[in-house]
Amino acid sequence: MSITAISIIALISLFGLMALRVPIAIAMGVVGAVGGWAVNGYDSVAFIMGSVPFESVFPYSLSVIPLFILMGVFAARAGLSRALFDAVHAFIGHYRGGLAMATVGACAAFGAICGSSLATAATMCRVAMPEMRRRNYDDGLASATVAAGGTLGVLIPPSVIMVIYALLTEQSIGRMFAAALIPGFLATFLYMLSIWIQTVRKPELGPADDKVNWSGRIKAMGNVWSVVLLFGVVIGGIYAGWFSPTEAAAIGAAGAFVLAWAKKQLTRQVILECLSETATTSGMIFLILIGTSVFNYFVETTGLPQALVQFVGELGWNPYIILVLLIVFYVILGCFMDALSMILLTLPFVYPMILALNFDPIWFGVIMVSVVEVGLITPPVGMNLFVIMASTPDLRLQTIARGVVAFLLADLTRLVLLILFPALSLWLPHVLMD
Amino acid sequence: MIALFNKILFALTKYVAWVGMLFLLGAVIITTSDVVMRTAGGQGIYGAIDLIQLMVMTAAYLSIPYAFMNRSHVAVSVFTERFNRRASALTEMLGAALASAFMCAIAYYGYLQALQQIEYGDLSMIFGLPMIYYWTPLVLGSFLSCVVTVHIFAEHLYTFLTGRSALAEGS
Repeated sequence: MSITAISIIALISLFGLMALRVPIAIAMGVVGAVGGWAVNGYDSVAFIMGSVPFESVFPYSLSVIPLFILMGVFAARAGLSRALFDAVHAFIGHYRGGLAMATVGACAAFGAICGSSLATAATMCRVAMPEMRRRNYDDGLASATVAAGGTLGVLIPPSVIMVIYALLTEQSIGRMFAAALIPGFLATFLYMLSIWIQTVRKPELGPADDKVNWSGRIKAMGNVWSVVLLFGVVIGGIYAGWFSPTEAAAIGAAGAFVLAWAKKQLTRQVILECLSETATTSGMIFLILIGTSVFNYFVETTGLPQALVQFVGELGWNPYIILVLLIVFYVILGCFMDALSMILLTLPFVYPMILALNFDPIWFGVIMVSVVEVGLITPPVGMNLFVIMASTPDLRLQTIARGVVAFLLADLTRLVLLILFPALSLWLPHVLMD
Repeated sequence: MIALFNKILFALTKYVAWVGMLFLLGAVIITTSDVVMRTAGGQGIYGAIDLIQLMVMTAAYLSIPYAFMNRSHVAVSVFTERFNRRASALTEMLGAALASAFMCAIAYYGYLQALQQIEYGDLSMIFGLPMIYYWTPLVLGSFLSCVVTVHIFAEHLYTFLTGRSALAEGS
């Protein structure tokens, strides 16, 4: 059987297994191993199965992943979400839709110490949803705000998915973080703008809250110094050259632990829950990395990525048309798959194409993470939607899906801006690191 | 029987994962101490990178069985969510069987590699730790994952055959 035929059968098998609910890591690993066996023989695949599972976990650079996860888990339990919400609310809560805008602002600030969309959405939901419901906010607007705000957890550094993208494409983690900062602020601004437009058109969606006086505002700001400090040390430390991203993650994890402990949030039970959550997420991510590595071994032997690059080159299309097609592909894929799996599954094929098209890998990384995050709020499998529904009684998927549309338009606007103006992503890394 | 075994495996994988997380906390302490010592003008911890690699390797591999036990490994459920109980059990059996084969292969070939490491007496780059220390969590974690996935297969086989949940039958 020819390599082309094996490749086609392997890809069909991969998608077939995934459609049958086989864990993505396992589907990739098994197809990679069996495909590798078919192409290269038993000895080769035996060597790969004995070495790749070790090599895909062993590198020091990968230590950053569980450490950032641990930091996010402790930060989520440190009771900081309430303080962040109150601080932003003190300044803008008295505007129409102000509570929703405060939720977005608090999500952005929380994302700066958390790095996970689901954790950001789940944590902010517990604080913001009851407040918005109490003030008679429309359920669609309120729930969609938290779901969309949660995606800022991945876009605003530190972000576990960005770390994984940087490691897989051999880019600097510091550059990726810097590149995502302005797009993260842009996303925050556009989400707030979306809320403002919605509440101008229909004021009953988000009634204005009471105005907080300046002493109240100063007091509220005084409660968020710890978040600013933690973010400043972790991210500032990387750019000041005090420590590497791995060291920053470890210091962030220690800092988040100390903050949670100082706020008396850490009982024995909570610590064990934090460890269990970190173990679950780390185990899941590392198994995907192992499965991806085995699959990549097969993909490399087939020469598929090179064939794809050659095919795209022969098309002679404008690179931006190909980029737009890729984005559409990711948006559709995002309706069925989670962000991490999408990145790991497609990167072996897409990344060589991006390099061949002369796109900047850092810029593309920001766009890719932005696009896959859209999948988190796209029905039917938008994970953030389910997180909000699980924490909010009497909330229907239709309600939250209706509210999400306006935020998807904000996401689309951001993507267009990021594509039209690469400097939005590339200027800050240039200033900070060149 | 399956329900009882489920309880035992759940407890075992949880404690094993917690041991892994203690290693991760160890990595946090070593890294933080290393940075503080270097910043204070000292030399830092000798061989810190070797130690951190060992601790993260242990944390990662000891966490994987717990993620299997929690059904936390990411899967696409949008096409199968309308399946009836028996059909769902069949797809779960397929997933568990493939996971079992994959994890057993990692455990087996990893074990062979580990034996070679003992034979050659390879050491880590800086600290000189025997490399078998790094292979041990890989073999243990993948072997335990193999046991867990065989258990998950049996659980869904029961559901497929009887139409009832094995875990609801009581221990």
